[in-house]
Amino acid sequence: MVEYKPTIGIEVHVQLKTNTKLFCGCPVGFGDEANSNVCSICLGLPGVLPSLNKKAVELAIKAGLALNCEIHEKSIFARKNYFYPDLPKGYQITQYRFPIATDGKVLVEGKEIRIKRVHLEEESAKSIHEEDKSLIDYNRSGIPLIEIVTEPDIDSPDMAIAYLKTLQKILQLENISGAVMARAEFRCEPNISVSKEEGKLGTRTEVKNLNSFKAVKKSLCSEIKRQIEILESGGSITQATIHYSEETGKTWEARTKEESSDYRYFPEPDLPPLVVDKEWIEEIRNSIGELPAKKKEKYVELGLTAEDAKIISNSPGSSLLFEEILKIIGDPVEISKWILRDYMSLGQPDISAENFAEMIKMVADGEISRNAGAEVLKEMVESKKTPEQIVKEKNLIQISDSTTLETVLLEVFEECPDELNRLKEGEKKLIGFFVGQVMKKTKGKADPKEVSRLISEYEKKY
Amino acid sequence: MKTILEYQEEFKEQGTTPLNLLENCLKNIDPSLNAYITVTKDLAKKGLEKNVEGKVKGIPIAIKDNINIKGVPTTCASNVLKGFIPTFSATVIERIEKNGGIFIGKTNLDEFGMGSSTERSYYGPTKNPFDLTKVPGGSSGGSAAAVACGSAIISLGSDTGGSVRQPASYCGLVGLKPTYGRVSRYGLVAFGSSLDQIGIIGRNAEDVGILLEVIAGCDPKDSTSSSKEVDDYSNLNTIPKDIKIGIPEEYFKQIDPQVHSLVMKIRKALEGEGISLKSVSLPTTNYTIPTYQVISYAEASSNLARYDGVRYGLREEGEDFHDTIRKSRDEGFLSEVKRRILVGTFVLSSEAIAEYYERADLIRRLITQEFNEVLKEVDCLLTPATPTPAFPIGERTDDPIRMHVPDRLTAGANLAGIPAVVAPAGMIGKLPIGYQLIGKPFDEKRLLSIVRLVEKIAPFKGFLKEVKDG
Amino acid sequence: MREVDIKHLSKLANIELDNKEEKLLQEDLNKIIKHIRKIQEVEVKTIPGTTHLSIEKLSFREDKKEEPLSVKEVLSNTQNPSKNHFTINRMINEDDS
Repeated sequence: MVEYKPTIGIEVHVQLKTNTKLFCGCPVGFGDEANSNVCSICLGLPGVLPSLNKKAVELAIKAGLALNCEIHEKSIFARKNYFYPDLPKGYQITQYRFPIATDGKVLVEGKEIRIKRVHLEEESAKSIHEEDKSLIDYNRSGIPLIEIVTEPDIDSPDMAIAYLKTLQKILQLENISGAVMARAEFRCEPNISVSKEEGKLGTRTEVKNLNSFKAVKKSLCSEIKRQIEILESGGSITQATIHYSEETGKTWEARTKEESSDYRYFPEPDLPPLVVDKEWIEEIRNSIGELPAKKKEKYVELGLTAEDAKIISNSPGSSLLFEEILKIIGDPVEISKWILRDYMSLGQPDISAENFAEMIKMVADGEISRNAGAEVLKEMVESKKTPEQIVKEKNLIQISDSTTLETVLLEVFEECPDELNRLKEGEKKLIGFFVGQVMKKTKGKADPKEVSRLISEYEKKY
Repeated sequence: MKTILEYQEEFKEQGTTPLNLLENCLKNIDPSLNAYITVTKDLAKKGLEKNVEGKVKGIPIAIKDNINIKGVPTTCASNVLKGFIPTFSATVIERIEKNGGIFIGKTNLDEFGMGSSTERSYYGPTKNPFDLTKVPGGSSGGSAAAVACGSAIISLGSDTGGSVRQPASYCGLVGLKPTYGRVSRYGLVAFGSSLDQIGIIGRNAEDVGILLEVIAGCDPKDSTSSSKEVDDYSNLNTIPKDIKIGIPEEYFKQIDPQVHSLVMKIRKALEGEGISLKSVSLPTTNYTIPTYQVISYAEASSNLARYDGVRYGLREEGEDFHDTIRKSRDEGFLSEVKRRILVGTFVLSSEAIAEYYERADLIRRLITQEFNEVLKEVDCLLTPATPTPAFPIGERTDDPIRMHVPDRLTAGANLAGIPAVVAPAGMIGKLPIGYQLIGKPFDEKRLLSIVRLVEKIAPFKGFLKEVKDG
Repeated sequence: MREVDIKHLSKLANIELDNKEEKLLQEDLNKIIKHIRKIQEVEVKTIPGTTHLSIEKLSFREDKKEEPLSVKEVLSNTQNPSKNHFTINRMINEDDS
C-alpha cells in the first residue's frame, strides 16, 4: 500500500529583542500592568504616524543573514487591512510584495530547509475573553516582529520540531530574540498536507494556537491522521484553519468565517521605501560571521583542539550550551568532551545548563563514574530530573573507597587465577580486564581510576 | 487691512494689544456663518498670558477641526468622533505655540476633509461671508470663512485635492498648499495620506509666508516630511526678472468666461512687469479627477478603518463585536464618507485592484512626470483656481460627480506633490474669484513672491471686513 | 461592466447599510465607478516603476524609550473600561490572539 507522505511548511512570528516598539518609543515589556506601555501611536489615535525603529531593522537583517538569506537593499512596507479589536488602526503595517529578506536556507539534521522570506511587521494587542465581553490590552500592540516563512521542505513532525529548535537557538544565539514560546516571543503556525502521489501536493491546512513544541508535534501527528482518514474514506481536505486541544490531543477544523478575508494590501503611504545600504548590511554580517569564527579562536585559547573548537563553534545549540556550562564550572576541555561525545550524539536535545554542569562536576569529583555520568545525561534529557535525583534513584554513586574496592578486587583475583598469573608475569594489558571485572561485580559503580591504581600497586608488589 | 507684521508693530508701539485683537476677532465671529465647531476663547486667553515671543506672537489663528490640539475636541465634523479629545497636539500646533501664536477656534469642514463645499458636516454647512446663500468652498470652508469675516487673522486648513485653495478662491483669500513633505502631517487626521498637506489660508502672501516659516520643516514623527531646509518665506520682495510662467491650455477649458478674463488680467499685469508667459500643454489633465478619486478614496477607506468605537468615539452596541462596529460606523458616518469608503474598498479589492488602484498609481506617475517636464521649460504655471465662483448651497449636494469638478484644476498638484497657491484675481458680482500658481517642488518662496508682486500691481479690493482696532 | 457588489463591500468595510441606503449607494457607486473607468484608456505599460513619489528614503528612530501615556490618558476616550482594559462585546467564533 502506498503511504501518505506529509509535507509541512512553517510560519514563525518572532518578537525582536528591542527596547521599544516598531513604530513608537513605547517600552516593550511582558506582564506589565494593562495599557501602561501605550502611546497615541500604538493606540492608533486619529492623526498619528509611524516612526521606524532602527534596531528592529538591524535585527531583521541579522536574522535574514543568519538564515543565509538575500538581504534586499530596498523593501516596502504595506498595509494589511482587516477589522479586529486587537488591531487599533484597522490595518497592520507589514511587508508584502517586497520583504527585507528572501531565499535563505538552514540545515536541519542534514537536510536543507529553504527559507522563503523574512519580513518586518507589528504585533497586535492582547485580548482576554470573559463570559459576556472581551478585554483588550494594547501593551503588546506595535511590538516589533519578524515573520519567518519556510518552503514546504519539512517532511515529518519530528523534523518540524528539529527545525523549530534550530531556529530558536539561532535567534537566541545571535541575540535577535529571546524566542521563548511561553512569553509569546516565538509563535509557530505550521501548515500541512498529505499526499500519496510523488511530486503532487495535497490541500493544506494551517494549525494555529500552539503553545509548546510538544503541541506542535502532537497536533501535526493528529492532523496527519485526520487528513489521511478523510482521504481514505473518499473525502477531500478543505483549506482551513485547524485548532488543537492539548487535553484531547485532537485537531479539528475551526468554523470558517463567512467571508474569507480580502486584505487589500497596498504600499504604506506613511513610510517611504526602507533603504539599507551595503555597508550597513556588511557590518551586520560581520557581527554574525564573526561569531562562529571568533568563538573558535576563543575555544582554542581555552585549550580545545582546533578540530573540537570548530565543531562546537559551528553548532549554535552546542556552543550556547558550552558557554553556559563554562560559566557555572570551569574546565573547558572536560566540558567540550561531554558535548562532543555525549551531547551531540543524543541529537542536541533541550537540557538545562545547570543540571549538565552539576553532572559533569559529579564525575570530575569522582562521585560517579564517567559511564554513570553518561547515563545520568540521557535520563536528564528524558525526564528533566536533576542529577542528584537520578543518581539517588538509580543508585549510581561511585565506589571510590579503596578498602571496599580492594575487597572486590581480591575476590576477582581469586576468581581469575590464570589471568592473575599472567598479570604477575607482566601482561600489563590485563589491568583493563581486571578493571572490567571489578566494574561488573560492582555493577559499574566502581571508580575505574581507583581500581586501576589499586591493581597497579598490587602489581608493583609482585 | 493690517498684516501680521503691522499688528506686531502695533503691539510694540502699544497701539492695539494682543488681548484687544483677540477680543475684536471674537466679536467678529458670526454664528450664522457656522464657521466654527469649537471656539477656544479660554485657550486663546491662556495662550496670551504665556506671552511667548515669536513670529506669530499674539496673532489669533483658526484651526481646521481635523488638526489636533491637545485637550480640545477634534471632531473632523463627524459623529463618529463624538466626545474624542486628543491626548497630543499636532506638530504644527506645537510650532505655532512656540512662536507665540494663539488659537481662536476649530473650524468647520466637510466630514474628514471629503468634499468641496463644507456642506457635508455633521454640524451643518458653513456659509460664504460674501454671500450667505453660497458655499465657502471645501473642505476647509470654515477656515476660509473665519478669516474672510475677520474672526481670525490667518488659519490652517488641509488640502488633499484642493481643499485649501478652492475655499481661498471662493472667499477672496490667499491659500497655499505646500510641497508634499514640506509641512509635518503628524496630528492631521489622515484622509489621503500620500496627498494630504496642511495648508495656510490668509489675507496676503507675506502673512502666509510668515506662518509657513513657523510650521514648515522636517519632523521625525512624520517619515514623509522633508529634510530640505526651510526658506525665508516671508521675504518676498524680489523676483528675478527672467522668470518664465506657463499657461497650460487644458486648465482653461470649461471655465466661466468671466473667470477666464480675470485670470487673463493677471497675466497682462505680469507681462507688464517684463515676465514672459507662454502656452504649455498637460494632456493628462483629463485623467486628474478619476486618478485622484481612486487613490484618495483607497487611502481613505484604510485610514478610516480605525473608527470602530472601541478606543474612542461613537459606539452603538450590537450583538457582537462586528455588529457593534458596523452599527457604529453606519451611525457615525454621513453618506459622502460612506460612499468614498465603499469605492475605496472596491478599488483595493482583489478583483479590482490591478485595474483600478495599481493602474491609478501608474497614471499618477505619468501626471507627475508631465508636470516635471513642463516645469523644466517654465518656472511655474498660471491657471484659474476654480472654474466658477462659489456655487449655491444645496446645488451639488446630491451630485458626487459634479462636486468633484473644481478638483480638475487643483488635484493635479496633490498627485504630483508640488506646491500651489491661490490668490484673489478679482470680483464677479459680489463674489471673489482666485487665480492659481503651481510650482516646482519646494519653490514656495517663488510662488508667494509672485503673489506679492500681483498684490502690488493689481491689488484685490474685495475684502469683507476689517478687524477693528481697539 | 461588472456591477459593484455593495453587500460584499459593506461587509469588507464594516459599515451596516439598511435597504434604502444600500440601493442609493449601489446607484451612486455604479455612477462613480463608471466615471473612474476613464483611467482604463491610458497607455500604462511604459511607465517606469516605483511605488512612491517621494524620493526621500525612510529615516530611522533610535531604539530609546519614550514616556508612554498614563493608563488614565489611554482610557480617557472610552466609555466603559474595565480593570484598566478596553471592553467590547464577546467575540463569537474568533481565534484567541
